[in-house]
Amino acid sequence: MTRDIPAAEAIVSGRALATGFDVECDVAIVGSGAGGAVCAALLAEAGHRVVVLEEGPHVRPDEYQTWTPSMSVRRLFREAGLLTAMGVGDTPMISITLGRAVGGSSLLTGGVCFRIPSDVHHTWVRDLGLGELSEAALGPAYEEVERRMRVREVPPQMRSRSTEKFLQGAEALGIEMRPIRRNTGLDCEGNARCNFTCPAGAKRSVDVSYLPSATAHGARIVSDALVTDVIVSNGRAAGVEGHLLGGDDAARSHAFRVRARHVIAACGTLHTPLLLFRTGLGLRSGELGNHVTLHPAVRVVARFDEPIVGWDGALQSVYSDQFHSDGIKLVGVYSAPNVLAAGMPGVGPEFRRRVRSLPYCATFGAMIHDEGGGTVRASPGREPLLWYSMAPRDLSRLRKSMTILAEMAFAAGAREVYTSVLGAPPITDMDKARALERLNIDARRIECMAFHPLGSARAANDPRRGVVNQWGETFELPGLYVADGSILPTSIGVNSQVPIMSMAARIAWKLGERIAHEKAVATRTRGRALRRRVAD
Amino acid sequence: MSEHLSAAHKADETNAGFRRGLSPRAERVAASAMEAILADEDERGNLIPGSPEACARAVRWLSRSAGHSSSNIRFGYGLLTWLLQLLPLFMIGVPSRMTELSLGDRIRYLTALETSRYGLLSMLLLAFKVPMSIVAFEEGAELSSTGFDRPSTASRRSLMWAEAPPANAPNTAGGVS
Ligand SMILES: Cc1cc2nc3c(=O)[nH]c(=O)nc-3n(C[C@H](O)[C@H](O)[C@H](O)COP(=O)(O)OP(=O)(O)OC[C@H]3O[C@@H](n4cnc5c(N)ncnc54)[C@H](O)[C@@H]3O)c2cc1C
Ligand code: SF4
Repeated sequence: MTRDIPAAEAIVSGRALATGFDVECDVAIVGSGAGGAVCAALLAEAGHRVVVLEEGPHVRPDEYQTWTPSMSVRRLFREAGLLTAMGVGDTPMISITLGRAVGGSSLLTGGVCFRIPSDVHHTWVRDLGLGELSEAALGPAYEEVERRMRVREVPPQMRSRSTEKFLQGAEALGIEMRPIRRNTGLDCEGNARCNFTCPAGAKRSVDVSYLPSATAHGARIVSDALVTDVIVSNGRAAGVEGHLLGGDDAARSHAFRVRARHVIAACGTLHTPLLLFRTGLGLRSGELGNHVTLHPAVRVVARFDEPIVGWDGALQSVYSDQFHSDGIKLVGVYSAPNVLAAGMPGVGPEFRRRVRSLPYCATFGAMIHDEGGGTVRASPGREPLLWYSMAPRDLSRLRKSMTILAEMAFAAGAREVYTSVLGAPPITDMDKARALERLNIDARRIECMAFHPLGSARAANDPRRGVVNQWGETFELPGLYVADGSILPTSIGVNSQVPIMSMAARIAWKLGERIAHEKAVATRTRGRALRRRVAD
Repeated sequence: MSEHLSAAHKADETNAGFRRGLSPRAERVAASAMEAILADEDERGNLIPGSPEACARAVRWLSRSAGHSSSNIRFGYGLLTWLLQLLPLFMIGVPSRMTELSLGDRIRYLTALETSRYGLLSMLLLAFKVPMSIVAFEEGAELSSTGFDRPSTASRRSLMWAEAPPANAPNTAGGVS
């Protein structure tokens, strides 16, 4: 092992290194996604020595922007997008997507930006006693994150005709729709494939909005670097260890060690618990890895008589909170044509006919503010096992969402609607749309997706109820912080990137002050000792 | 199988290597399913199997993705291909492996899986159909059949405005070419 990271670049490709390393810094950050990148930038800007270790590869934006969706899925999505939460009881199998690259899941977002709703903050403060996580306390963090990510309302002229159709339906039914805010500044061209990276480079994912500032302020980032253990010394975190992943087959190559008084785990909701379990945490409260919420989502595809050509426009541009009290958020959504084609029902000629009707189709989605019945545990391999037991209330919400979406489609003049019920024939009128809500089917026939796993290492005001305190430090191991989706104390009912980044910003600011204070104390102590020696 | 790959996919393999994640048997099962999923009818209503290029591209992607994923995924797909192969007797009453069914029977079998009232059976089909169809419909005649009017799924939309749309720009439907 060398005493320095043996490469000159700020972002070092771990797979290219011929040897491991053993280095020292102020803060070691595990994971370079939404949470990790914010911490890296803010701590480096505050003058602290930062090393970020990322398991996934580093791909420059000018390279990934040219990729087709299947290339992005294979190279940037964890498990090539094939990850599933196993449904327990009356629960759909939920497909889970996560990023695994420098920039993490931030590379794959639809760009949608929400703050945590006021009522959720209120619940945290009033019912959970988390006074430090009030809306006012997070205000400066929200502002900072939104400024750097260039969050703007999507202008009406960027709406696709797919979205316009659902707006028409919503209007007819008296459902109020609002423009979505996204982190695309004024640069979005409406290529409608953000989840597979933006060919126009419009989306301000953290690899372009935060990490460049981190490296400009001296942070080092090592890709293809899997952290396996937190080093513990004298009862506190003292760094991390792991190994580089060599070559495309990601086999283990050289070992590395990063020694630091402060460690931030930002591996994401499904992977942070694995690192914490290995460090022996989670025993005191028994809460680690439990209560995972997912925001399960469904969508419908509606076929119209006239051409829609829904791929011209921003991927997501409007939403509705009309059913907020039912825990349902309606969101406009589209995707790349090959991805939409793959989701059409049928086999053989029936499937091909439906794919040919895509230019006449519009799509719209809904997401559930779920109670959270997810459990994440280590498996014999690298990836976690995730079970999810859906609350009966949430299953009803999913059914109700499909009903509302189908009603909107028919109110806009749709000929037929393909719901998320696998293998079900398309529904052809409003009555059948309404009957969806009462449909008695195996829950596993509902095709469900989730993009926002949260809450596996919750923040709490008491070590018996959670894993970290309100400033992200673990109750059980001083010096070990968590700054990613896992610390959210409940489901939030909105897209999670800005909330996670804002929580991470607060943690980084506080930690930055703490390290500055520790450094000042150390300097004073050294000065005193020196003066004493001189006087002697 | 690699002779059927498009230039984009070949370039991707040259850059990132190929590591097989499915056994040759499992690849054959996936290919046979894909041939039926992508099957179409000619002008006279006769069944024609999915194109060899699209099927090969899709199976290779699945195998390669499994090869670069965890052992959970490789084990899972090994098991799923085995189930896919063995269920025709229970779904359509034909005592044969899926790969040995005629194209028409394979379509009938896979349709029975998709429309089954047991969600796990629908999921079995979905586990192959969705990821492989994403790849199949990404290029060539399959992409054209979606009506997509750009040269590739990685192409940018051509806008009439040079930079940001002006505030009074027309609705996208009228404002793009
Ligand atoms: C397809 C998709 C669409 C989305 N759309 C939106 C949207 O429109 N709006 C929105 O607000 N949110 C969206 N999200 C959610 C948002 O991206 C995530 O909530 C957010 O990025 C999570 O941040 P995180 O820091 O918790 O984890 P991540 O961003 O996932 O980062 C975790 C990183 O840690 C790395 N890592 C894990 N374990 C280790 C280890 N042991 N050693 C080293 N590295 C490790 C991972 O490889 C990963 O890069 C979307 C997500 C997806 C997948
Ligand atoms: S809609 Fe298109 S241009 Fe806009 S951010 Fe998404 S991919 Fe980029």
